[in-house]
Amino acid sequence: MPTSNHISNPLKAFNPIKALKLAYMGYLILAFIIGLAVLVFVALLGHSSANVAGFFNIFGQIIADDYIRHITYFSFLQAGLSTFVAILIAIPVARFLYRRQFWGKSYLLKLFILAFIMPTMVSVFGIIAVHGRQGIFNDFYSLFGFERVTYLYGLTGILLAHIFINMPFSARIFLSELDNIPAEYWRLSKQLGLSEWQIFKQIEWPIMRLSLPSLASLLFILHFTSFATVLTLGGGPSATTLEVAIYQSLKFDFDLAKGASLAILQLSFCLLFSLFLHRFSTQINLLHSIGLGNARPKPHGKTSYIADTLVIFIIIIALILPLSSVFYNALAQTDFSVFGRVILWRAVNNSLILSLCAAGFATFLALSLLLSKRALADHKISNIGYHLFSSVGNVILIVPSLVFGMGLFLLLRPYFNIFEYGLHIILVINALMALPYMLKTLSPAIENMAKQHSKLSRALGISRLDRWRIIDWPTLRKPLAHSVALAATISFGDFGVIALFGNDQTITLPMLLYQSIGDYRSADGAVIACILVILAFGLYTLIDRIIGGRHAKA
Amino acid sequence: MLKLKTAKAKIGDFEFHFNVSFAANQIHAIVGKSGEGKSTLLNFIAGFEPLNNGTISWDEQVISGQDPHQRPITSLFQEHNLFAHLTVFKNIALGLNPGLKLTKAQLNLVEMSIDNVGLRGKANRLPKQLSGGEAQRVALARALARARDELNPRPILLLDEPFSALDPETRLDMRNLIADIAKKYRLTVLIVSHNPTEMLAFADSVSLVVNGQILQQHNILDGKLPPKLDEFINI
Repeated sequence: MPTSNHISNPLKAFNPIKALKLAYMGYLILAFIIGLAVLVFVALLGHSSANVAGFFNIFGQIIADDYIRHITYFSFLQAGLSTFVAILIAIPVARFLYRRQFWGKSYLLKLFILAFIMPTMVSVFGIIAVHGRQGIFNDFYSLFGFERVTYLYGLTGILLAHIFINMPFSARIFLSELDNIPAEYWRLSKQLGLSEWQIFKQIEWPIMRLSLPSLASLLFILHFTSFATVLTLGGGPSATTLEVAIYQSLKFDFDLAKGASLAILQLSFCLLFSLFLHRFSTQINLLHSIGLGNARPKPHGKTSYIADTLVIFIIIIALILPLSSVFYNALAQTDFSVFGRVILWRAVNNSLILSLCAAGFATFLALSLLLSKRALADHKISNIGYHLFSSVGNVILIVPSLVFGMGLFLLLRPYFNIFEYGLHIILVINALMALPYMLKTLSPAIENMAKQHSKLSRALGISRLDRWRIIDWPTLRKPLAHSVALAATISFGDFGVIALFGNDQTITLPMLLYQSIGDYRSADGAVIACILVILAFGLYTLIDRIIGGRHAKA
Repeated sequence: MLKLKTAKAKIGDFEFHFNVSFAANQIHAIVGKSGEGKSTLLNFIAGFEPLNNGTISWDEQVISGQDPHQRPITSLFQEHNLFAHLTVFKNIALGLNPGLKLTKAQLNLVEMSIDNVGLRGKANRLPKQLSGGEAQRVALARALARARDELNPRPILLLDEPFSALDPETRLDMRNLIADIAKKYRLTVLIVSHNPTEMLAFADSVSLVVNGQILQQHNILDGKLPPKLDEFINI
């Protein structure tokens, strides 16, 4: 039986020709992404003030340069604090969501997701609407005759926005761990008579702790490279991070050498962090937490009553208030002149096309990589490419989008008018940004499919095309729908590289919102923020329904 | 004697009605097809499911109004009996005091129970370092320690399919261990099983649960039922 020989005998020796033949698309994409990252690195290194030989000079410069030292310190400070506080609050919030059953809980959980995928500029706008000088809190103070106070800009504002964006996300991660507690534990806790504190200590905390390392390192990277939030709410040179400093050195100082040095520095830190992240990487299943703590003993006693009341207050202030103020501010407007401006419709148009193209490109990348990986797995070939296929998505975590943009700018500047092709560059970067999420969502589905159907398909002699049509597509369409929708939404709401390359022709909605916040045109801002949210979620729902079929869950 | 007197409850559309007693210091097998209410019977006794009507009593004392942790009962589940982050010792100690504050006598009792189930030297292991059979032995040691706790003896042991996750050889060991310990320390054991023949060699009585009720209850002598009743057990 010559044909079945290579199935029963796993190929131990490296067989490059066979591997290339099976997975050429995957290898091409691998070469594209890694090549791009290397080119970016080389371009940055070439322009940085350190010469190529003295790469480590850059680290010498941090110690020498007061400014760089300060922003490095501040980058770490705000990222560490944001991560710590977001997780600290998420713990009691997740417990509350798990142990209390109440009307509207499923909607509240949807709001938690909404806060996470909301365009960052809108979140920032919501935070300003609550905490700004003309915000809800100041309105409240002034009712009692107090002076309006400014407390938002600087570290406080950055923390508030980061908590708003990532606390709900963390709470849902914890909640999905809590949902995994076996019912036997709750019976055991009833029989042994564990108190609320003992339940937390012996049952809930040990299981929440499992996702802590991967969650904390992911949040730290997100906060460390956070751009839109720090740019808008930092409010001055004292509260600037590396990511924002890269932007400023290019946009305002036009100091390419400094920008490139900062980018190299940022890249080095991210490389370091992602090594940690890789070590802790576990599956993060965001949408499967429902908080079904029915088997858990009902919380009793004053302490849990007070704790949960506090949690409700925190949810209202940190989450519901900023979210609802986005809609409230738009509805309370009397000035809708922004609808008459050409630039609004151009931004809507640019954003929609950009996000759809980026999502399409990301889907192409993700599917090619994972199907190539599966093709190798089917034939029991495991080489370097095999492992890289699913982890190459992390490149964008190592090379943050702004660093990537900076590098591409330096790389392409001699050949193109970069500002004309801004949207094309952003398309590629946005697709790369969505890639880790897509790979994470799709790879378990595809790997499961491989395990279940691979041998059967080969035994029945089903061709690749038929296998895709008959077997893969029906099982894959739900997770695919979800991840394509997520990719489009991320791209639609992203405000990063566009800040570098954007102009009046290539403007996107988040950029327009940033401009109107910067120009204190709050009426326009309110309307744009609202349009941005409605379109982002419209886009998400529509893609999810179209690809996922009629019964897909939003 | 453990006694259920017109104990009634309704869960969803399913009605339960138990009128039955179980002699003390004996092993009682509860058999029946799945979905007939065997496990629910144990849940009523342990207090995990409330009754709508009737009483459950132990030694003439009504326990059905008590919270689960006040009842003289220890349950042993098919799996997940141990907390993964606690050592064998602490997992057992938790059964004597939920805050892990043990008296001298209780500390000795934990040590003895570990010896009794044949896990001497493994007190400081974590559950993930144990085999499936060993994990069940730790749970049994906890039940034994609770039964012999002088401050608060809990002599009733409820076992819900405790062997189904184990391989045949380990099942047999575990079964013999439970029988030995139950006789030696005078425990009252109720054991739910879907394998009636396995129970014959082991239990003092067997009760058949059908549609939320005890349909028949018989004593087992010399590992045999009265001949004409053999068929009911061949389910």
